[in-house]
Amino acid sequence: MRLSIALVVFRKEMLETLRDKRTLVSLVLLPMLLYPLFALLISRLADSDMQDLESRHSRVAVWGTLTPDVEAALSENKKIELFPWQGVPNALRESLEKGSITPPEPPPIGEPEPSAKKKGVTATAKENRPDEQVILAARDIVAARGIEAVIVPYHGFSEAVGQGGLGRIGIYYDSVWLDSDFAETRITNALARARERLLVTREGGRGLPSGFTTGISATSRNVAPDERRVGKFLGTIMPMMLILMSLLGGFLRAADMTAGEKERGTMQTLLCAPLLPIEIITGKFLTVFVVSLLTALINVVSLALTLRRLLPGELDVPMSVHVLTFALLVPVTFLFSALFLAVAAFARDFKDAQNLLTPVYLPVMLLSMLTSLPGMELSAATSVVPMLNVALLIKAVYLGDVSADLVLFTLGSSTIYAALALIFAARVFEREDILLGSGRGSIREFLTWKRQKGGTPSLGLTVFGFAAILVLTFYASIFAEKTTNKTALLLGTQIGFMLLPPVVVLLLTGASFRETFALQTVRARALFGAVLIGLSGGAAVSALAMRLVPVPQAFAEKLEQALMLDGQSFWVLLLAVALAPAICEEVLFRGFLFSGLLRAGPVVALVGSSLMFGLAHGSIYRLVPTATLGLIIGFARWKTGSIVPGVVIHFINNAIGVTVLYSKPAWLEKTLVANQIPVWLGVVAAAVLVAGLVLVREPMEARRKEA
Amino acid sequence: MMETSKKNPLVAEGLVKQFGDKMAVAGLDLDVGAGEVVGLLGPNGAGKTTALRMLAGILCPTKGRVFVGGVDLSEKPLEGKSMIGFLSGDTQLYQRLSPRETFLYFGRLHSLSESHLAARIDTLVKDLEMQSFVDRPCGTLSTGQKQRANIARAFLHDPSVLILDEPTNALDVLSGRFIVESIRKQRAAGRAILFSTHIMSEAEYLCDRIAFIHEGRVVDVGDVSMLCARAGGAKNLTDAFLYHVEPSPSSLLEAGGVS
Repeated sequence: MRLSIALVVFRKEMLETLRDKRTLVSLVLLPMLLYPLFALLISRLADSDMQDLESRHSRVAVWGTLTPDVEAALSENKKIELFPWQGVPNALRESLEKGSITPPEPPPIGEPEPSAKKKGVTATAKENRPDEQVILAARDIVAARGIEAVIVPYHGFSEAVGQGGLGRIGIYYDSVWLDSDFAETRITNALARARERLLVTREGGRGLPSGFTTGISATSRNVAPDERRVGKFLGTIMPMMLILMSLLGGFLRAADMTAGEKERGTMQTLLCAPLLPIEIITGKFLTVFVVSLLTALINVVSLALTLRRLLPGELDVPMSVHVLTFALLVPVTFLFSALFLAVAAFARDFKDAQNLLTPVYLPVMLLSMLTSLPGMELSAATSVVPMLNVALLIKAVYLGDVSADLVLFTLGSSTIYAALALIFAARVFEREDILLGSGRGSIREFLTWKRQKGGTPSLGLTVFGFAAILVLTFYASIFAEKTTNKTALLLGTQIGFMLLPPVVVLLLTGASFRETFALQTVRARALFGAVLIGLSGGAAVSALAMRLVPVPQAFAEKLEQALMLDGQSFWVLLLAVALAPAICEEVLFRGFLFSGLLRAGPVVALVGSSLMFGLAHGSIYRLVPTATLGLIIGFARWKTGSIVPGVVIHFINNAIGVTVLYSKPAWLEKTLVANQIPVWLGVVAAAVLVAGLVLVREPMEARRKEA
Repeated sequence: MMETSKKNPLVAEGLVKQFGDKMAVAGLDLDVGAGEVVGLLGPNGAGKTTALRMLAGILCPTKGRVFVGGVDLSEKPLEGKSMIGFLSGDTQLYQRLSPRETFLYFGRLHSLSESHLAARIDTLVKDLEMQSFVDRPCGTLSTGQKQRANIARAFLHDPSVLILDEPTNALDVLSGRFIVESIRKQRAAGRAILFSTHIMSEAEYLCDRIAFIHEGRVVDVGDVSMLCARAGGAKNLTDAFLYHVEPSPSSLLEAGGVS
């Protein structure tokens, strides 16, 4: 492929795009209008809910003693019901009664006055949290929805007010819960009335200094955590809107550049120029991708501006969240740019393209709607579901709850899906009948399963296979949660997801078992090499990896616990943790995946299969060591052309691990330095490893000479 | 015969194209020499367009080979295609680009240098009298203007072979004549030209040789007098054509007739 030619195509497509009003509207105008409109709509909806709120009662817990006047002022509002000491933890009650909790300061001068829209100070502002305990307790009771708000007349409130001093009172409420928010307004109003009367009484009686007139200082305290307040609004709706809007620009462009071109008769004009299909698809793909990215950028910017301008204070999202959100939209737009382009290529005209693309767009909508469901969160399982993973990750970003593990998983799996979509698109563009739109190239025909005779599976099938296994694992994990028998679960996973899928694929495609799974005998020399690698590989890799990426103690313990399978006997462990993975995982990674990837060259096969091997082991802490081990085993597979050394290496490696964890030999505890393999042992292991690698390397050369 | 013909700028050997069960082209042999215009005549559905698409490298033949300037098109498609100028009813222009922008785009796809490209565009704009509309979006041009721009696009990279599929289709007499004269100029410049048409007078006027194509095969090829003589002494080209393609009235109806 000549990149310069692909760029010529890209430049021309961009020029045409910028002259297309339809695209410009969806690209710029729509997002610029949508988010402000949305924000206005939300506040309008909230207003209409007010009518209903008026009729509801506010249940208010009182943690302390009010003066009869203040209590009367509160009770004057028939909708306020007071519940003395309701829901207060005993320890807190004691502290409050003793007066050991300092009341919060009212907002500093210059801050906006408390009003119906912007209330008080943020309870989470670090410099002003002497009442942390009260906030947490109030958050719990309000979250339980038993009462709407808590008021705390602080120690000495009655005395201070009665003697002409300053009584401090705190109002604790949740701004995200409308009823609680409304209760706060009622309380504030009632307290204002009480204060006015107090001032009249005081000033009517005596002439006193000006500080006196403050009478009551009421401070509203919002108990909703900052991130949650922002996240509740953003996290539920924004991922869906951002993703759908970002894809819209690419959707229209993809349809226009494929089906639209056929309809206008320009596709054939392009095809008579001396350029390769891959150059056309690259140029067009870049265009759809750039347009989608621009749409995503404009959407994120519009959202950021809307939040800052229209919903200030309440929704204060840091710049970094917006930047991260945009970064997360990159793999999604990549995936769908390729997918849209490939699918739209089948259409005869623009309208047909919209019909074909809608089934692609609909699942996207449904998946992104799933994000707004409560309890739908990013997990090891959801992080491999295309699109949903990114939507959930954006939600997690807004909720301020992101783990590096899952980010890596999401990005890793998204990249695989994107590559898959691009391979699919490239294949479609190689089909002249589809490009010329003679009506003969239907999707069904394209997807018709063609059985092959022998050989290894194709590259596309290999990547697709891996992606399918990841998605299958997601659905299976839903059922697996209920399983208590860990041994059965582990064996089931090994056989069901590692061994069975490649076998089924080979049966369906007619590819050769012997060739794909590399079922070849090897010489004794290579076997001996494999034994050496099996003995040393784990130690050598761990010695290095543990220094690069230190494993947290908690993680190591959890892993150990998981591997011990609730105290099974040694032989069961050896079977489930060493033998089954050695066979099943080797068949999948060094058999099926390695053989398929080998079509793109040994480097792709080595790096690709070991990365997949690492990814499949599920954690960032295990990624580096597992992938490195995968690389070593892959090397043995490549050099010997057989899966056997890999099975041997894998078995010995895992068996050592099981033995160590099971028997916990005392000498080992002594040898380890701060839970790490000492340097000398690492060096010895590395030397044995190199010797093993040299040994497995030989037979292939010898075999070639024989041939 | 094969040996001599391979030296010709455009040679087709046993071209076959099958779409599913349907045989669109069933073994087509043809060659066009330098400075020669060969016309392709055949009823609708005879396989003309499919044959021309294969010759232009847009479709891959199911069997058979195409040589352009001695280069096997299936082995070196890019090299072969860079020597072909192709024009058909399906090669339209980008509505939102002007003819000049279109020429720049295709010139770059052909890897022409920017200075050469600019000079080439100037020449073509003058030759094909496009000064008044070369900078207007193609979507606003008349059919005749569009076809001139399309021809210029096909001539742009100075190809040694021109493949033109009904280039005067849907044009008025004046525009049609202009295109025909441009083709004659290209012949004078030594290019090999293969074109298909439905207009007998145009074929007679323009072609050195004419190939009758029927049911995916070349049924006869030669100059007008030879074709007439071999068609049982037909009076003119139309009669000679009907002699080959009209075995029975019913099959004529089926094929859609000749316009």
